[in-house]
This record gives sequence, structure tokens and C-alpha cells, in this order.
Amino acid sequence: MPDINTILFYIFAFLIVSFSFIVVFAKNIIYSAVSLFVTLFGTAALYILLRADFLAITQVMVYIGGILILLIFGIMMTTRITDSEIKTTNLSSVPAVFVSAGVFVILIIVLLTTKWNINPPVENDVTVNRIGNLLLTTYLLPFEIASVVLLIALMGAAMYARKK
Amino acid sequence: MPAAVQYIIIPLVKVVLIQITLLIGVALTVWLERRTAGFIQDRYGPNRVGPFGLLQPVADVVKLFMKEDIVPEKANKFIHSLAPAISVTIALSTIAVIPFADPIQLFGSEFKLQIADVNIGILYILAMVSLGVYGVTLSGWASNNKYSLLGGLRSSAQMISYELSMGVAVLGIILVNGTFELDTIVQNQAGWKWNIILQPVGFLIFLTAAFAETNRTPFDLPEAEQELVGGYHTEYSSLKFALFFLSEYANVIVSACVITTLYLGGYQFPYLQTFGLSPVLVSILQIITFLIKIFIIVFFFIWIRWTVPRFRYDQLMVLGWKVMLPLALANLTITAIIVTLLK
Amino acid sequence: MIKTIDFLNSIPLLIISVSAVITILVGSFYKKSTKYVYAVTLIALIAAIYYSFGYLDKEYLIYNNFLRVNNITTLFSIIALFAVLLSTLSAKAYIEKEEINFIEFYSLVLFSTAGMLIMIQSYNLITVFVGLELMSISFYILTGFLRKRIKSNESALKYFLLGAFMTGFLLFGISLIYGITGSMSYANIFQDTSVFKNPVFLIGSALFMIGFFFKMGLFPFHLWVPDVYEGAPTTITGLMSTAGKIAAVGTITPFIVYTASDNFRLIFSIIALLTMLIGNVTALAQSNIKRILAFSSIASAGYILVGVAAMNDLSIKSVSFYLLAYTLMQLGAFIIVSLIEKPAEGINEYRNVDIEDYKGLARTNPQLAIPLTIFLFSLGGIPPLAGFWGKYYLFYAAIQSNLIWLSISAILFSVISLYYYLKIVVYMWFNPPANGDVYKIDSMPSLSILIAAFLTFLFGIFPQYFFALFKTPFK
Repeated sequence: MPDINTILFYIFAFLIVSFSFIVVFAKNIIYSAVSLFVTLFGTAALYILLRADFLAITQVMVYIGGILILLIFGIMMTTRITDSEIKTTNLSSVPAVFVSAGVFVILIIVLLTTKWNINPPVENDVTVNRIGNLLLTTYLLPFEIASVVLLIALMGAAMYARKK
Repeated sequence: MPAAVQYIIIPLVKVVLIQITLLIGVALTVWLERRTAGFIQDRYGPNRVGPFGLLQPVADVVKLFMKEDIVPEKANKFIHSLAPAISVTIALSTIAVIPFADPIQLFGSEFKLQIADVNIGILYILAMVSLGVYGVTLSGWASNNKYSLLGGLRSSAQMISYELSMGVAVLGIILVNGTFELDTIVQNQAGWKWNIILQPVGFLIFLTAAFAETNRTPFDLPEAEQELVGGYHTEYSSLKFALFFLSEYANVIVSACVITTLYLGGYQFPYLQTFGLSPVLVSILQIITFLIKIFIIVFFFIWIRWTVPRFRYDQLMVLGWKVMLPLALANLTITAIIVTLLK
Repeated sequence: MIKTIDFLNSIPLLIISVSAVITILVGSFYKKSTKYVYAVTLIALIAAIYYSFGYLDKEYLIYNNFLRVNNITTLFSIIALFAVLLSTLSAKAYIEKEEINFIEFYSLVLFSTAGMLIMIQSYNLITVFVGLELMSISFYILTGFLRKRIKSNESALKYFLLGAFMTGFLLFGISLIYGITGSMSYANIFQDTSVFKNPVFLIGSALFMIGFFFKMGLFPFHLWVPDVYEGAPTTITGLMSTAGKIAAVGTITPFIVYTASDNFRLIFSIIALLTMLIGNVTALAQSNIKRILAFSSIASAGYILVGVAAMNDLSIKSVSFYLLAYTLMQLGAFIIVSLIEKPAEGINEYRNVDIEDYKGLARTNPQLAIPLTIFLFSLGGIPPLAGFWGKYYLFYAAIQSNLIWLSISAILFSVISLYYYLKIVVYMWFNPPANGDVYKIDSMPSLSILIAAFLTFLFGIFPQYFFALFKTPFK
């Protein structure tokens, strides 16, 4: 009998994978968006199983509460976008299938045969304080650069939207 | 205590008890709102069903049950049904992290009067608040009706704008208390040290943002009757409408719980522990204190609704981005400086 | 913790980042101050180059081992900064002509430069990634800077979508490398050489390299290059095709030389061969000069990969020398193209960029035709210009590693490339003028053309000057 964590992991993994399929293959873009909701939530659940509570909540806040809402907002603002079917027509779908299937098989084999560098999760660990400390000491440089990246993205958006 | 009891049965009992209390609270709030509206407008309000009209909400629910469930022909059926469910789920699940009293000793083990004691309770609340916009937005879109769509758009813009100030205001609390755990925050507020005294500006910002997040007057633009018929729930009837109705009032009560927990000392009655009462009595008194505080805040919500007119849309955005956000940031900066100096 | 010494050891990066922030602040309060911002940008770039020279022959690990300063990073930083300086120097005339003289232009150029420096100096996969994003996002925005031009918008969107997609590959590669080594830091990744043979590491580093091959425009990932280079404002094309490529090459080459085994050499050689083939052969059929230069830049990426595939002591030396030569000639050519180009009337095409328009340029505008001829000769690899020695060292490095067949085919492709370079030269010198236009040349662009032409000659005649900059040999 596997333990409860393993069972939960497979349930969430199944949810994530199956809804990701809907995200990719749904003809109607709003269904893709709603399925993405489940996928992102499932990822947050996986983080909780890994005892990374802060990461899970951040996932919910940033991806579901922020990015996905903007996506849906964009869909709503665009007239009749949901009436048009989203279809990629391109000539090389057969080679694409072979390449993706090949990559998939290789990845699966490699994932199963590799001995990964694993750290077991720590039970009931308060991660927020340590994440905060690390972000402002060891990882300060990438953290600051990431904020600069956001700043220029903001600047670019403002510039494109400007009238003159 | 066996693991099954500890991890499944006790949480289940807590969930059922708290959700039933919440639902009763919703019914009472609806009654209170209508009576208060009557009082403020110098008329009676509902007073026929039961004593003082107390059973009016029951009658309303029965009536909504009997109504025909209409789904517009061009609507997206699936999402049209999904939206109220999302709305009500999120409204009801936010209360999971609110502590109602000090932990009590019963049958030799400790019980926390809180469904889930998570390390990051505040962040959980903020995350749930940020999800609240889904129900409104999706219902507005799925109804395939211009009023609903406008309501949905307005609400997403409004909620995203005010969420920001709300989050920044809460950061002030985190700085003062140094923790994300709600029960620690409440325990830190023992005696006079309520956060409303330490963070008055933050309290005002949070309160205003809470009005906007719950779509209550003066920020009820998503459902402004005069312009948008009923806003996002124009095309909803019967039980689906009832779910929206329920989630709106549940949101009001949950906001009151959050405001109380964060700023008004939670379940703390000043200096109650020093009176030397028995622990069980203390817990009961704390629950009563908590309920009274919630009642006051809920009454405040209702009072505002029937006295203050609605904002215009541009005023709403100006208030959100040009007043509240800078104010919240200034509050955060000053708090950070003071906390650092006092350390 | 970050210490004061970290700041002292990264002065160029600090100068660039601080001046970028200053330009944003100034730009948001004083809209009319483009002249001063231009000056600040140039001063910042010159100062950064000046201070960079101070780091030659030094070795530091700074910012908690996130960045590394040594000969190689300093060298690539200097070349990248120099490319940015040359293109910014000439950019003002162009953006004034196109009426896009906004302060954001300079901020974005500076931010992208900061991204390049971070990438080149990074000693950790996290900084590689954020630096790359900083540079790329600035480039996406700059590509669409001509908002009224539909081509510019289209190419910005194309570049952004493909770039974002390739970032996914890069990140997946990084996560696999992290999964197998348990660290993002090069210090830990390079420590245990046995891990390099691990299949997960191989897949991870392959995906990581694919992300960079996209930025360099190598064979299966080159399709965006002509469209984006054609649609972007011409000075930005110059910047992207030189500085952007230098940053990508400067980041990935040390990684490849450290980690890749002999198995990769064959793959790199094949990619290099195909890139040179595609670049040179497709360029033959082009008539738009921006597209010709775009394909020539694809071909150049192929030549660079020849040097990388050698994976020996000469690799970094020859690659850096070629990059410098390439910067001079490619950027010089793009500056001249930007001067000849005319502002658009409608919203669609760039005007005066067809090679037909270059007919008889030597008679009407000899001051443009002579340097362009020099740059094209250099691109074609004709001695005694810098481009010749660039290719010579690359192919020599390949021969040292027994990649003789690759060197020979590279030389053959180089000969093919002469056709389309010389075609332009013939059009300029031996055809009657297409029109009698005399193009106005400001002092700043002519200064940068002069510098580029002078250095093309200087490094063509005395290539050893470049290597004399370093007292200690390369690792």
C-alpha cells in the first residue's frame, strides 16, 4: 500500500497532464484558459506535497490570480475570438509527431534510468523566512536583475501603448 | 489519538461546524441588511415571516428554489454553470485559516479552533482574494450579454487594481508582527496592541480595498443596477443566482473575519487572560468577542451601502492607482523604517 | 552577502546599469532631453570600456560566485561594449530621421548592454538566464521601435514569440542540469567531470545550447534571422547582429569548451557546415541588402561554430578575434545601410534598401561607397583586412583538431560568399547611378564608420596587436 503522498501525487499528476492536453488541443480558447486554471492549481498542489507552501501560494497568486486573469481579460476584450477555431495548419505535422515522440521516449527512458540528485522535503518547515533571507543575501543579484527585466518589460509595454 | 481521527474526522467536524455557522451568518446578514435598509430609509423592511421577519431569508431561499433555471440560448452552458460554483467555493474556503479562539484542552489533547493552521495564512487569504475575480469574470463572459460582459470586465479591472493596495497594506502587518501565521498575529495583539493602533493607515486602506474586493457600495460598479441592469449576474436565475447571492454575503462576512483578525485583535478581548477564568470559559468568551467584532464590521458594511453613493468608474481607478497605492507604499516604507529603528 | 569589493570588481556593469536607470528617470521627467541622454549613454559606454581594460589578466568571483571576471569574460565584454558604442554613436542620426528619437531607445540599449555583460560574466545558470532575458526583452522592444512601420511590428512579434519559445528550451535544459548536478553554479557543475557523460546532463546541455544557438542564428534555428533583421530599425539590426551575437557566443563558448566531449564535435561540425551552406547559398538569391547582410550573419555564425567545434586552446582566441573583426565589418556595413535608407512614406516598406539602389553609389557618394567596399571585402575574407585573419584563425583552429574537411568546406563557402559581396561592389563602382541622390552624413555616423574602417585595416595588417593585449595566455 503506497503512502498517502504518493497517491495524492499521482492524482494531481494525472489532473495536470490531462488538463494540459485540453489546454493544447481545445478548439475554443476559453476552454484552454479554464483548463490552464486546473493545471496551474495542480502544480500548486504538487508544491504543497513537496512541503513548499510559500511556492504553492505564490504559484496561485502569480499564475492563477495574475497571469491567467489577464489572459481571460484579453480573451474577453477581443471580439469574437472564441468563435474562431484555433488550428495550426502546417505541412510538416508528420515529422513533428515523430520528433516529439522520439524526444518523449528518450526523456522517459532517461528519467527512469537516472539517479537524481534528491533532497527529501523537510516536514513542517517554515520556508518563507529562509526564502526571504536568501533572496536578499545570496541571490540578491539575480533577484535584482529579474526586477530590472520586469521594469523594462513594463517600459516597453508603456511605450508601445503610447499615442505618439 | 488515532491518525484517522486526528487528520480526517476532527478537521471534517470543524469544517462542517464552521461552514454551517457561516451559512447561518449569511442568512442573518441578509435579514440585517434589509432591516437596516428599512430603518435608514424610514420604512419597515421585511417583518412578516417569523418574529421580526427573521425567517425572511428562508422564504427567499425557498422562493429561489422554485424558480425556473434559465440559461440563455447563446450562452456558454458549461462555463455559465461553472462560474457561480467557483464564486461560492472561493468565498467559503477563505475562512479556513481564520482562528476563532485560543487552542483549548479537551479530553487530554489540544484543539485549535481553526480549520487549517498554515504557516502562511495571510498569503493564503491574499491568494483566495485574487481568485475571487474568476467567478465574476467568467459569469460575465459566459452569459453572452453586453451588460454581463461589461460587469465582468469592470470587476476584473477593479479587483486587480485594489488587490495590489490590499497586499501592500497587509505587508505592513507582516513587518510589525514578523510572521505570516494568523494565530501568532492574533496572539501578538493581546492587550492594547491591536494592529489598528499600530497600522491605522494600513487599516483604512485594507478596509477600502475590502469594500472594492467584495463589490459592495460604494464600489459596486460590476452590478450597478442603473447602468448595467444587474451586471455579471443579469442572466442568472434560480439557484445559480442564489449561489452568487450567497457568495456575496459570505464574502462580506469573511472580509469582516479577516479585518478583525488582522487589525482588530482577532478573538482577543483586552486583558481577558489576566482575569483568571477557566480556559474553557476564556475560549467561549473569545468566540463571543470575535462574533461581536464581526457583527460590528458587517453592520458597518451595510451602513455604508445605504448611505454612500456609488463612485464613477474613472474615480474608482484614480482612487485605486493614484491614491491608495502610493499611500500603501508610503505606509509600507515608513513602517519598515520604524520597525528597523526600533529593533 | 554582497561586499563592497564586489562593486569594485564590476565597475563596467555598474556604470552601464546606473546610467540606464538614470536615463529612464531623466526620460520620465524631462521629455526633451534626448541630447543629454545621448551624451550620457556614450560617456557611460566609453567609461565602461575604459574600466574593462583594467580587468584584463585578473581573476575574480563576485556577487556570491554569480559573476566571474577573467580574461575571457573581459575580452568578450570589451568587444560587446565596443559594438554597442559604435552602433549607438551612429544611431542618433537614424532615429532622428525616422522620428523615433525617444529616450527609451537609449535606456533600452543600455539595459540590453547590461544584460550582455551579465550573461558573458555569469558563473551560474541563473544569471545566464536572467541576463539573457534582460538582453532579449530589450531587443524585442527595440525591434518594434518603429511602431508606425508594419514590418517592424511584425518582426518584433515574430522575434518575441520565437524567442519566448526558445527560452522554454533553455529553461528545461537548465532544470535538467540542475536535476543531475544539484547546483546551478558553474563551480559545482564543472567540478565533477564524470557527470558530463550522463545522458540527462547531455540532454540538458543540448537544450541549453539550443537556446543559445537560436540567439546566434545557427542552422535549424536560423529562420527568424532574415525576417527580424529586415524588419527591425537598421541600427538595431546592426546592434543585434553584432553585440547580441557576441554576448551569446561569449556565454556559450566557455560552457562548451568546458563540458562538451568529443561526441559533440561531430554534431557541431555538421551544424556549422549546414549553417554556412544555408547562409551563403540563400544570400545569393537575395536582392534586399538587409537580407543579404542577415544571411551573411547566419554564415558568420557558422564560421564561428567552426572555431567552437575545434574545442582546443585556439578556440576562444580565434572566436574572439573573429567576433571583433565581424563587429567592425558587419556593423560598419549596417551603419552605411542605415544612412542610405530613406524614411518611409507609408506604413510598409523600408525604402532604398534594395541593391539596385546602390548602383553607381561610388560616383554619387564616394564617401559611403569606399568604406562599404572595405567592409564587404573584409566580410568576404580578402586580405589584408581583419575579416581575412578572423577566418584564418578559425579555420586554423579547426585544422588543429583534425577537422580538415570542415575547414576546406568553410573556405569553399567563403569563396561562394564573395559572389554576393562583390555583386554589391560591382553595382556600386561599375554601374551608372540609379538616382542622383547625395546622402547627408552627420559627423557622428561618419566618426563610427571611420573608426570601423580604420580598425578593419589595423587588425588586418597587424592581427597580433589584438593578442598582445593579453600578457597571460588563454586557458
